[in-house]
Amino acid sequence: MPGPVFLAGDRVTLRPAEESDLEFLARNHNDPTIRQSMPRSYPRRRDAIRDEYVDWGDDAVGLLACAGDDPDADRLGYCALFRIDEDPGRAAVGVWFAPDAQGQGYATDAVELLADHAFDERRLHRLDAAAMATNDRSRALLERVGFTEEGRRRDYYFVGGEYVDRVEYGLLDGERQVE
Amino acid sequence: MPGPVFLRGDTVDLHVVSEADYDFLQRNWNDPAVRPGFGTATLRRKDDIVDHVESISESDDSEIFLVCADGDPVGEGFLFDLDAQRGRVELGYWIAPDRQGNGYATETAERLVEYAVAERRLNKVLARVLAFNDASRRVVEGLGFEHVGCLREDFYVDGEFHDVDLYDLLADEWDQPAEKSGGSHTERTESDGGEQ
Repeated sequence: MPGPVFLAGDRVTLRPAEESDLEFLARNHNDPTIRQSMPRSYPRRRDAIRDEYVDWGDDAVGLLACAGDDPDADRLGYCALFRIDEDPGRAAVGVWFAPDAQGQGYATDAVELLADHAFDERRLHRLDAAAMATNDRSRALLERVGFTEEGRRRDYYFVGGEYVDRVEYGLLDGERQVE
Repeated sequence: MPGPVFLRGDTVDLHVVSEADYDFLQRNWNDPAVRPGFGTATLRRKDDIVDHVESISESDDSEIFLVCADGDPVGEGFLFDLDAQRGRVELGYWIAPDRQGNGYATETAERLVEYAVAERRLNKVLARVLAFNDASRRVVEGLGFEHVGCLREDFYVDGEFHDVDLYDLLADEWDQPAEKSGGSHTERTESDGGEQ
């Protein structure tokens, strides 16, 4: 059963990941379609999943995304603020959703919740994000939330036998589409 | 030999504390002329100094600096109870009794406020001044701190209770960089010898 609700949006709730969520997280972390959109190229066992998704350190906050606020709500994906640096007021945001939970606006809702949390609760000033240049869905999501494309790192990733550019995005406090 | 310089001033620099500074810190923390400014009666052994400095170095919510003039230790400046989410921190400082009266406390406090506001992105610096500590009061008032309240009989020093005055300064009110580039803070050199 997922943990208690920490952030609640129209479509998703974000909750701390618990031991009981590791199976869902491990399955999706290793899932080829999710991996190739991140991308991640090596397998992860349960202990490594726990370190990344449950036991993150002081400079991150990771949350399991679920459908609605029911205690038994379906698990949909995972999102996080990481590399939080409070002096400049900056953090990076990352998100993935299970294949069958994509295309329904869940991820947009999750990133908006994280942005609200970052700016309105944590007093941060800027969010970094990045997407593979070929990942149209992620890029559309970031732009919908209000992120601005700020740059491109050429041949940054190697996916499916080809080099792929990485597109860098930034969102400043005050630039959210839905304030 | 103090540690490396972290914040530079005109008359004093604020250094990272090194083990060589422990004797200086211990002597002053125990000094009957320094302790009343903090309202503390605690005896500090050498190990207490080591533990305190190391715990501050490892913590996220405080910073400690050795204040040096011409390379010689003259006092200590510190920030504590730093809360990045709320954007606030509390300021403290002392200058060794035989080095007071040179504006060192004012410059120490000024460097620490500038650091808190301009480097740590904090919104508010708080200072508590024991009611009888006029030297310290002149330091914070000279830097533009507002008197915002009083905690009655909050410390016990020299046989009686003493009020503590609360001061704070908001980032919006801090125009020190412009003022500094304008030149001097000579008008503040009388205000020294303060503790937090």
